[in-house]
Amino acid sequence: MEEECPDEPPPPVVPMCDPLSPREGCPDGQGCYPYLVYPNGEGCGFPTFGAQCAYASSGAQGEVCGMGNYCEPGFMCVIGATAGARCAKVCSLVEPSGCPAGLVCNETDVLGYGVCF
Amino acid sequence: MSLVSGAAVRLAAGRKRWGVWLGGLGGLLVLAAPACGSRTGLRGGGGAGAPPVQSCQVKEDCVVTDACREMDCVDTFCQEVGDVECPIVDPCTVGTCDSGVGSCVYEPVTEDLDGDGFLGPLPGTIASAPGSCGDDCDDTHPLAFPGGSEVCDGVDNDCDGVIDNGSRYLENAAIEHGLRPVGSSALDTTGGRDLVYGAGTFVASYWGTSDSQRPYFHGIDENGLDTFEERLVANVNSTSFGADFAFSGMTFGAVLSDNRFGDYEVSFARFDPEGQKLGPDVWLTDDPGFSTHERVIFDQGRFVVVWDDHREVNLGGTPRVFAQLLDVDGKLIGDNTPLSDAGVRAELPMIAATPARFGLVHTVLTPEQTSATMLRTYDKSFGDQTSAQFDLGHYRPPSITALGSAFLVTWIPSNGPGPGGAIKGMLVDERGGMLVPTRDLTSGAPHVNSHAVLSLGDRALLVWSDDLNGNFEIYAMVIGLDLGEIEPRSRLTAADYDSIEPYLAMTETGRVGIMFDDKRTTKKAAYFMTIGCELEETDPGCTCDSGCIPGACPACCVK
Repeated sequence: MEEECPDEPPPPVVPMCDPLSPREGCPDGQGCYPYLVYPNGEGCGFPTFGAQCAYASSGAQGEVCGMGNYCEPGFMCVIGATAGARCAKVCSLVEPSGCPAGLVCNETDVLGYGVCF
Repeated sequence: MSLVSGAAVRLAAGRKRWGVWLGGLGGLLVLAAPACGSRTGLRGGGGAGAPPVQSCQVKEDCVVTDACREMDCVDTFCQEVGDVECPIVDPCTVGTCDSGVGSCVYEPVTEDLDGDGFLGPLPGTIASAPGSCGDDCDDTHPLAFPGGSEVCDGVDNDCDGVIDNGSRYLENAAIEHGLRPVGSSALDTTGGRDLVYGAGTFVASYWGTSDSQRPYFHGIDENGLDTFEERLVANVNSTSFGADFAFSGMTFGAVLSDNRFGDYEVSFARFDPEGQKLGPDVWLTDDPGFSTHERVIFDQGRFVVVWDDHREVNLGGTPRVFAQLLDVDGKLIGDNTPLSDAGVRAELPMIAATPARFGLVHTVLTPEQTSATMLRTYDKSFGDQTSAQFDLGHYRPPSITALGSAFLVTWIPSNGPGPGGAIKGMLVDERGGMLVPTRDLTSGAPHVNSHAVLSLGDRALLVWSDDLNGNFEIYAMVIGLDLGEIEPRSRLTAADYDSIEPYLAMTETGRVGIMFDDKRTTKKAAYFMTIGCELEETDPGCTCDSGCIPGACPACCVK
């Protein structure tokens, strides 16, 4: 019926820093951002997840991002919440989430990291 | 698919279908004797693959191998001189010649997908309307057909346009009735994506994490027992947020966006009621850029899929909303159809269908970088279109639900950087004309998290999550066509952690399944519970005129 993918372990997650403490462990002017590398395109690959330091931008909660405008440390640029790509606060998927009142921590496709929405 | 394709179609003996009584003919509508009408003048051809040449003196020397092809003796050789052409005797049937006997056999142009003995209408027509060729108002439910008996089962059994006439859903609704987790203990976390019902089973669709985030589904009956175990929608390692499902009357269709090929693309697959996959994935998209936020409904014999697609972004364009039709067997009908305007960032579509038209809502990014709502309606070929843009100030994407012949649009408004405290709604007709302008459907809470709507024909069950009592809990109410309250707010969950993201589906016995997400065991998981439906008791001293709803006594009826 359908070819099954071989039973292989996923690549290890190597966080270089902590997106929930986004300014710790990164040089001045940078922040810690989660990242995702998509599979190799052959159908059975795993995505690769991690976190690394990158130059800090300034987008705050709910602001449009992408195309050169990115988010301040502690925020991720995500689609699917409302029209356009938007900055959203990175949160813990384990309680307490640290999200502002009225918002909950929702999963993203970066395994292990959520955003407040 | 043919009406006579084996056991997939079940015709109940003795039921009347659009005026023709059928006996034990297996669904074939055979017009006797004179059915072979005119013949075409085409001559039989020769060449590779042609039958051996027969010599002859007269026509009778020619051996007839296909009774639908007329033979004659021409220049001492047998030749085909024409084909049987079946005349149109009824626009609701199509004739084909039976090569064994040379007579025309007529089959309906419409199908009985739910096997109740009544044919569904042609796409784009209303059941029982002239030219519809079918009178089954709901060809996905075998208990819905003209003349059926209305019972509390979530179905318009008698095809009068009203579901469960005079019923109540919330008066005695218990908190967390039949609560159970949806995913297995093998998964670290799960989150709901969709809930549908058909063929005796709920299908709960969700994502689950272990070493990756994969799309799962699970069969659950109305008592919360497994009908089939947890399965993958697609056995891949890539990331997915779960599949959207629709029930055709016989099979479940699922659309899924995942990045197994390095980019999010949308595929379609069918599953039988035991959860077995019926064939390989059918890819709806294969272009650079994400194709995500996929939704599927089943409408009048076709699966209708919509999604937002970034294929034009690398060319300087914007994300747009597309649609794809598939037949009941999962075969593509035509190509991807763009539904939104080029150059306008359109995302997060949701589609619903009345008997005559599709309703679509999607978000639009305005030049001021706010999020507006586009409401479009289409005929069933996505041809004739209406569109209107609303600045609804929504926080989450709007949703649309068919309510009789109208569309109910609901949304959670923004309040600063977060959600507001009331769900708002408006009712429009099939061409987008305003029937009931925007009004608050709920009240009292600081914030609303999420909501879902289930059409009851002339009413709607609204289930939502708000923080009226502290943390987010699931509540429900029933609203009417004026968007006013019929059954008041009723609390359905009570846990220490937030209960959010409800999904709804209804069985043929009147139980409403509700799937929602919760962290009550410290890790996020999708849960399932049910509420029931009770028919209102008719006042025994009350006499209702024909056409009155018994439960409406005494307003409708007299003592």
